[in-house]
Amino acid sequence: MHRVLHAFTNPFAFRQALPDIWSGFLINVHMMVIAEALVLVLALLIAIVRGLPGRGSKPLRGLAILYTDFFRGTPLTIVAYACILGLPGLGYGFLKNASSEALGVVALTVVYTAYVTEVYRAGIESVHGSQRMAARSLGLSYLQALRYVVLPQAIRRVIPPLLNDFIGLQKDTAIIGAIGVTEAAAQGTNFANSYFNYTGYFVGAVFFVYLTIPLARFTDHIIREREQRERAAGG
Amino acid sequence: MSSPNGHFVSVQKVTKRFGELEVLKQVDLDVAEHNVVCLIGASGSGKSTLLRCINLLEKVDEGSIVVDGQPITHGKVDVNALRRKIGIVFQAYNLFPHMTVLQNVTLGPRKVRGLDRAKARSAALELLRSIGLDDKADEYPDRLSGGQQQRVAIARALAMEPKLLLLDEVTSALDPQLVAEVLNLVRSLTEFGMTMIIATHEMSFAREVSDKVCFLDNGVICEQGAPAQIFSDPQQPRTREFLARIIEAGRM
Amino acid sequence: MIRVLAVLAVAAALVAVPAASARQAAPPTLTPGQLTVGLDPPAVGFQVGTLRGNNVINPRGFEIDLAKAIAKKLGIPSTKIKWLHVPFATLFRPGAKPFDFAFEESTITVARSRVVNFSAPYFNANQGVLLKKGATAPHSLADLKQMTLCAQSATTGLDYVQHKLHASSVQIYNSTSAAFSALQVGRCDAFVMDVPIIASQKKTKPSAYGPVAGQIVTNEKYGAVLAKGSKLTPFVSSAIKALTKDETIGKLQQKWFAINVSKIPVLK
Repeated sequence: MHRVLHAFTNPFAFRQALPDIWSGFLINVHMMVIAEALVLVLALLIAIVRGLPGRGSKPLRGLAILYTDFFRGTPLTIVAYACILGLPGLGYGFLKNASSEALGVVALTVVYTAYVTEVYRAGIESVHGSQRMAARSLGLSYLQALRYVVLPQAIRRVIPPLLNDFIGLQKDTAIIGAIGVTEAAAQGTNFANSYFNYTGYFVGAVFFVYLTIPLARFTDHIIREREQRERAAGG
Repeated sequence: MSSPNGHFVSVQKVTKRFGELEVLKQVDLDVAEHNVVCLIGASGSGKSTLLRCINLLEKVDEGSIVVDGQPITHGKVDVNALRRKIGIVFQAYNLFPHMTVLQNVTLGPRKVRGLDRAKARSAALELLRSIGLDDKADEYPDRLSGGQQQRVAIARALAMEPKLLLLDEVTSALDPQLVAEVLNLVRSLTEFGMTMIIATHEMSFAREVSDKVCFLDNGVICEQGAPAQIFSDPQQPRTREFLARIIEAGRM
Repeated sequence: MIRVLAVLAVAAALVAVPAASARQAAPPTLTPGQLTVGLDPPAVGFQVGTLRGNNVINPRGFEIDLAKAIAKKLGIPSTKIKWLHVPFATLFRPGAKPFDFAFEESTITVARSRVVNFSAPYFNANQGVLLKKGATAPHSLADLKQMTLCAQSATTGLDYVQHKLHASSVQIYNSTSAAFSALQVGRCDAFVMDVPIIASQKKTKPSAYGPVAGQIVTNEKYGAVLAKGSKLTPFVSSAIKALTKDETIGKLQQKWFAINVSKIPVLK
């Protein structure tokens, strides 16, 4: 037990590892912020496409389904390798010059958009059909009804799962460390390989937890607030 | 402008199926302008479906409907334009819970009729004042009683200045003591000359305000006529059965 | 009578001694009579093979032939060798090992020796620099320091570029294949890795990379890796020493590495 504590939580090693792990962690934060912004927007677009009515949009809906099935089913590690080591080999100049971090963001975005699309879809479908009917009955078009009536309600409902996926995204930025981006986990491994002490990992964990705790508490707060409002309205 | 036979709404031999189930069977109905037609009948008799066919929330399988001189079941129809002319109020889940009362009422005028914010706001407040709910303008729907919510829903429909108003059992989900305020509002609209088709269980009210009453039974208009005739002297046995049950239940 | 007894005694002694030394010479492998060798292919020239679960099928290469030669010296037939896949990154973690010894082009270092045992050295190597296609060749270590470098996690090459060269831009990959792929698609300008590994890789896939820019004198020696305190260590070391002495290792090197490493220019 004492040896485990020493190997993972040695205070001297903590101080020693801190600067490198911190500089790596900034890369994680950078990747997560950009990826999350892209995911929130792209997933909403694909969720809307997924729900478009009519025969004409069937191929588009099919593409959306194909996309979400494929990228929800493929492990992020595989997508990350394909993006960072595969894409630059295609011969396009902008891909060849893209940094591994940027390509890592692409991988994270592509995979998490697939998950978040389904979250949005669940939210949209949870809005009672009468709401869309009432909106359309006023003369609003399909997209207007979506924009002013359905989506505002849908998004409010799925804030907890959206935040959960965001927390997952934050942690999955560490996967990019295996492929040339020296973020916190890769720095931890480097430290471990140089000094045969795993405290570097603990430092990284502390940073991640410090970031996710406020988000987790915020999620709880939103859920509680919604429950209170629903209880008051139901009476 | 009205259709060739002079009616504002003309439903001819309309059939509607949901899968195997035929919910409307060869229904004929004419509604003259400024008239009030009440649809009565048991739940599942097709009243709601008929109303939704008129504003194209449902597509008919057979037959035709003409509204304001324009056939809406065949050819190219601008659905959104049609719906601007027709207001509908449902039994429940009417108001948009994420918007205030005022925002609910101004949404249509602003986004569909293109009014600017100030004009839409003043028109909406005027409307709410006329129904005595202007003090609730900035409240969210969940703070209003069921009766108040339905009245706001009616105001929202009226804000679009429709030519036809469809009411789909708007008091059926309300507590009994809240029904009156809604019926009062509807009554004032009939006095105002609004063309209306009202699906309702409130028989006394139907008798009072309608120009014509239609009894639907299993997707068929079993009997239609003046309210006095239908309620006092029903011709069809099914009509008599239905009304007898209503009287028995103390609802007339 | 005494003479007969004396002869019998000598005869018994003559029989007993070889028997005793035979019992004493049985090597303390994990499974008696079987040798478990750790590998982490591919490293062109050293070892290639197919990975199947935890094992390596059809291994071929310099280190495989050497392992077989050592097995022979230990009295274990090559059919009784189990080839285990042991990822390089896990090799130098403290604790028990699932293998008797591992051949993974492992440089003997003081830090590593604290957590594992090394056998006597069987190969000398320096670090080498392999360029990506189209990269400007460095003429000195100062030039090299300015380039974007790839290195593999837990290697002496990474240790060199981070702690001795102090390069400013280093990308770390978890496997040799990933690092070679990264170089091939141009993620970095150069890959710093043991010179025989990169020279062999360049020979096998000449069009995928730029030239071998040079070597860095680090005087590294490879040793077989054993668990700390492994009783098999002296057996393996003496086998290697014997094979070095009788030129078996030299001949194997010639067979598997037709590269004259001394021809590669030294970067200073």
